[in-house]
Amino acid sequence: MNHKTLRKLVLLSADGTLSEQEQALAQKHIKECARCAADLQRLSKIQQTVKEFPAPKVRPFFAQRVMAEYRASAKERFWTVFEGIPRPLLFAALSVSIMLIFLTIPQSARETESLNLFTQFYSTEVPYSLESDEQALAFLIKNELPSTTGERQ
Amino acid sequence: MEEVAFNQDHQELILAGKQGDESALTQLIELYAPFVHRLIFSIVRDDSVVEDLAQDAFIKMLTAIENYEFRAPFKSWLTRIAVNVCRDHLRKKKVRSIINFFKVNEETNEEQSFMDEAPNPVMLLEKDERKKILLRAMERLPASSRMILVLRELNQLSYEEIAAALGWKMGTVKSRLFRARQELLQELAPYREDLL
Repeated sequence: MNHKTLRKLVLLSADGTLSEQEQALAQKHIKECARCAADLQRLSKIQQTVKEFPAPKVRPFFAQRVMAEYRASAKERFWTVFEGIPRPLLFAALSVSIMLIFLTIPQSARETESLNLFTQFYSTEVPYSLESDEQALAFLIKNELPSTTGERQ
Repeated sequence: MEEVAFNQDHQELILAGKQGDESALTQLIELYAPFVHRLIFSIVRDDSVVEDLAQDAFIKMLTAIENYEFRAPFKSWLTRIAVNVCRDHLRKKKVRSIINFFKVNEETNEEQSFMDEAPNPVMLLEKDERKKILLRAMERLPASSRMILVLRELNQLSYEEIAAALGWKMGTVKSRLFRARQELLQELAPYREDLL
């Protein structure tokens, strides 16, 4: 084994990751080579000095501040999705969405809504439930049709 | 083995965090904040930007945690994010990394006073001076050597964690660490042995 390989083992021996055989070779070389022995000693001093380096302190509530910043940036990211889309396309998509929402409202819900408006308009009690168009028509004929201005007759 | 166990200890938190559990994410940040602060400080050596960069690193972590798949230890994955944040910062600021904290007085050539012929041996033995010498020596190393020394010596990352963080093979980590240590010893050669 040449000197460079043995020197490598020596300089890595401080980490405790060598195999038993490699560690034995490194130990043997340290006894034979004054330069490598001195460098290993110096490396150990360096590692000791490094441990004395100051470490920055984490300020209180750091994690909470990060989470708040993340939530804010997540909202920004949501809106930036729309920035790249051309405006006409965006309007078209919005119109289609509104139409789809309208179309997906159940027919019965719309009928109920119409009945409520109808009842409010006449302020009269509906004598029976209007379950069909025929019944609604009969009710209108009986109570006179509303005027075109929408005022009560 | 110890490092793997460390990673597994937080597996439940990581899994909950992946599902968007804010309490788990907050706990993860609290657990790794000291490590990330130290790592960033050891790379940029500027304490005025450490918190901002740590915050950037954690926000990147929160954004990407959904895609983290346990292929590498969480600590390595986070290290890679933090290192990239530091690289971006240094690239933007166009500063050299490691010595800003202990600025050398170029005009008086202060560095000369730490050499063998320095007149005041008492001062030479002070701890702060030893740290300055070491940081100056590290500053003169090539970027890849400096990075591996920062991760191994200053932040105590294992070979496996370094390999995963920098995307290197284990053999590459060993070779580069050996080379970096050799280069550091060469840089320190002009200084007295009893000093460092």
